Amino acid sequence: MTEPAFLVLTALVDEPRHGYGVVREVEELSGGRVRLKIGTLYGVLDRLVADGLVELDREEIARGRLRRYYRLTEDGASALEAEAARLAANARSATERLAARSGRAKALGGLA
Amino acid sequence: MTLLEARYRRVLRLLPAHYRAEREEEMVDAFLEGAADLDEDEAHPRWSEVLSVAALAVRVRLGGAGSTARGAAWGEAVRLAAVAGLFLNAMTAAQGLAAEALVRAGVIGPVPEEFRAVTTLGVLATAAGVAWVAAFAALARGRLRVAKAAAVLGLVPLPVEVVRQVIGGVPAVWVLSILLMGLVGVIPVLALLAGYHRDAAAPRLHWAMPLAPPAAGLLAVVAILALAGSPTRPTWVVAWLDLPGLGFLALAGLSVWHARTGRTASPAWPLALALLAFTTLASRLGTIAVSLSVGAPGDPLLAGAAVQAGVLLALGLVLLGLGRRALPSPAPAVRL
Repeated sequence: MTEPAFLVLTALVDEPRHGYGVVREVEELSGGRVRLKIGTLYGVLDRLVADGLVELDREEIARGRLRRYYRLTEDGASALEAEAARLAANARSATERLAARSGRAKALGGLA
Repeated sequence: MTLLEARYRRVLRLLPAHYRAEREEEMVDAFLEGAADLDEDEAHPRWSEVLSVAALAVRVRLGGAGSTARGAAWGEAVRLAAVAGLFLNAMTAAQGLAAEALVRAGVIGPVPEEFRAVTTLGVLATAAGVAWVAAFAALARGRLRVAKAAAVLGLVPLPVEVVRQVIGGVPAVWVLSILLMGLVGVIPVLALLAGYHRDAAAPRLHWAMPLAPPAAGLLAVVAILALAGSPTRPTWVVAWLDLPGLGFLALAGLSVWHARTGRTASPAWPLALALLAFTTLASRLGTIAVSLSVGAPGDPLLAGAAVQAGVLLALGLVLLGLGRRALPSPAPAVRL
């Protein structure tokens, strides 16, 4: 799963959102690091809808323009959960090894 | 409608009509909401936004998510053209490298200049040759990023050569012919970059495929040297053994092979072969332009080249017609 897809799915966990709502939420989730371009956003949404991870929730008219809200499907929630578990396991391994390394460095420092 | 909205809608025209019918309004809504801080009657959409729409348009037209069956077929054809085109470039590059190595090792003397496929290479061309072989090998192994980077490196000698010739003050027709011949490399690389987009699966070719271009290149070098080494070599063979000539032979072989075995409904093969036929035609016209500019009418080399150009044009048109007829109807994909 690409990072934009991961962030878009995460943005839809708590409630259905429309296009710009997703962009804003992704920006916040990533601490301002990822600001999706509209073309990129819809490419990601197309893929997620085609894979059945996201679906149309409802349509509204805002300021005279069509606004579509998307929601996470059950499959989308499972896929996100699996990806989150995978990333968490990777992060844990890295943290453990780094802790062991700094432990070794301290022990060596003590010997010197 | 504000000027900004009108400009963004113009950008969205890059997308196919079926996609715009489905998505234009909500994309405009999302864009304008995000652009609220811009002065709506002054601003242009940012370049990054335009590029994201352009990238989306390429994916939608070439079989990405949100594509029609027709788009999927075009995507398959473009990817096939990328694989076949990279194969041809890797083969001719391997041929050049092999000839270079043989000359350096003293196995053979300098190769006659008219055999353009076999020339003494500069450092840049040698590096580019290695890049072409690596690009095809990476593509065959499904390593798309490596393949794309290597293939772009393979193109580097082209602009360098053009600049060198322009500075050297050669006739404009020569520069034009270098550009036309360069299309043999440029078109497959564009097909590679556009066809193998984020939604496209990497190819999985036979494990031995990365070795095929060097093997074919070596074989070609042996054939060329056998002919070039003969003191009574007929000049007309040159038109069949330079780069466009080899491309012509390879394409003719592939087309015959496809006509005999490939009676499937898929439009990908004829469309891909048509694209490569037009590309080879361009490079052939490039060499003809040079021959004419140095003024050698009645040259047997020119006759062969002219025959090839005619056959390539006919072949390309026939294949394009066959491929288009086999395309799925342009009905929009079922969405949402």
